[in-house]
Amino acid sequence: MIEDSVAAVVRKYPEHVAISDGLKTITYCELYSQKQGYVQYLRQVLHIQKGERIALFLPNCVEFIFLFFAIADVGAIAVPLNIHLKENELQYYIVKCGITVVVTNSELLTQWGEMPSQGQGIKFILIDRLEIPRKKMRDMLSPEDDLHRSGINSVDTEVLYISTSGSTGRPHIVSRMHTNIVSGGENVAKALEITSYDRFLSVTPFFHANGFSNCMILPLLKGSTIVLMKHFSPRETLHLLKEKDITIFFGSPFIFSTLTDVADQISLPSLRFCLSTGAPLTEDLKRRFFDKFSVRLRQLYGASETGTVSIELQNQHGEGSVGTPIDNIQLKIIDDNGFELHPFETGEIIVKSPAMTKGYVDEPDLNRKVFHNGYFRTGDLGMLDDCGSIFIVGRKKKFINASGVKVDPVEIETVLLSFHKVREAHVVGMKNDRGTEIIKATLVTQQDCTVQEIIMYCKDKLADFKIPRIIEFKDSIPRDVMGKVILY
Amino acid sequence: MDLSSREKIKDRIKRVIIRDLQINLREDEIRSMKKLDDLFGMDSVAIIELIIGLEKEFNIAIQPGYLDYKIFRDLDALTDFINKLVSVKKGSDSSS
Repeated sequence: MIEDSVAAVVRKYPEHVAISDGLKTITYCELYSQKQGYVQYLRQVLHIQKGERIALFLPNCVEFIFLFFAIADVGAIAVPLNIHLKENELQYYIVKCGITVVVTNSELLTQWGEMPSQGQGIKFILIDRLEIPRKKMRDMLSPEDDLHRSGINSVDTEVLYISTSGSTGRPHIVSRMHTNIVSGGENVAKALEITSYDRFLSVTPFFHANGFSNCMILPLLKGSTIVLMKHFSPRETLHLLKEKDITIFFGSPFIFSTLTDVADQISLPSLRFCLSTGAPLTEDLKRRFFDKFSVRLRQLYGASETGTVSIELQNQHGEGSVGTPIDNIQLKIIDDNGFELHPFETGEIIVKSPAMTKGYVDEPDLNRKVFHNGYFRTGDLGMLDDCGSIFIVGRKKKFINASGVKVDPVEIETVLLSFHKVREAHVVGMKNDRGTEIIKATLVTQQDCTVQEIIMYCKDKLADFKIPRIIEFKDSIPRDVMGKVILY
Repeated sequence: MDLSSREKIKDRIKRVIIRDLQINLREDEIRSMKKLDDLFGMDSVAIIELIIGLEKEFNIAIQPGYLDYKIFRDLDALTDFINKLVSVKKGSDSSS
């Protein structure tokens, strides 16, 4: 299914630039040819079978893209993972997802000092040390041959496992099928009227659901060009937005806030859409951004489970709105008993979408709880106005938006409590003015303990973005009779 | 290198860390720390926040081409790096 969509684009725009990463440019024809090399490698060297799970532990790079499409092609499942994970966190995903192959690079591996254990039959592949037979593959297979060979995948074949914040101390894994990926991309493409003339600046990591869908899949479904950034740097981003005539830019409030801070007033006449997602966008940031760049910053609302739900496309949405649902999205606001509410009444947002997951991996109880009659219960509290604009007012599920990643505080508390000097731990997020949150931990210790001891302990067990920036020691953490922490 | 000016730069870097990264440590608690990693999780967002804070504090521009993220994890290396940028800026200001 995905392979058919890609092949159609390749046939239509063979010489169009698909990816530019500052060092090289890759046309759609070359993308296809490179992907074929990886398909051969997966099949003939790694002997990958349909349904096998392959972790992509990589930053944004061309190899990530080649590999994803090759994995899709052979009927396997790609599992993009946050590159900041520590070894024990990676181990969790290996077990939870049933990963058999981890593809990474030498640079990432050095952060652990040595190659992780290859026990349990897990293969670690260093992408920078691979030699993929590209030219040979181009000679061997034409796109037409490949099209005749396709058919291994159906619309409901799983192709992607992506991580999302959990409610039990560990992330959940969202399963996406071929049809989810393609229809999700097509929905957004229609809303934004994406064409092959568009140029995307892709800085949001592909291991994020938003980065994956909107910065990688969306442009490649329409023959657009991806200008790839490995890491976010405000000055480099501004340079590329202007010099590469970027037309579409997805980011987060943190990204847009830092761009506004470092930039002089500049004109970005090519930029058609600047879309913020991952956290609420303040009206103040929107105003400051417009004053600097004369481009309207718009909010996109979605979830890893549903794909994009709404986009603030019109200028007349009310202040604080995340826009109206895009095509093929059904959205309702319900009360605690599941009854649909009227405009201006606040309740839980539920969504039905062709891009929606069929459920979390190996979580039957949770799936029964959050999926009802084809709708997903987002856990977001919101309301609609009489024009159908959506307003988010809060969340039912508690998580911390740390560095743009939703983190369950229980996960951090669990690690803190496993330290022998800590008796009680309470973790919360504190809002900062960049639209993300700082993690604060309040601890009751059994014996003398320093902040450094806590940090060093956490560093072995948690990715850096999950380590609390503020650590406070208290004699006790006030709790109510039910043992629930009283907010202070 | 002038040791006293180097120490002054280091102190200002510590103040930026406390102010812009919003960590609850005093300057004297940071004093003994060589690796900034030991203070908190120095993730990519923290590094960007630190860069913006340093640019404002020292009125310098840290160009992407000069970015070596390892520098931002080591207080002494970061001090030398900022000291160099400040010296270059002083030189260009005085010649113009």
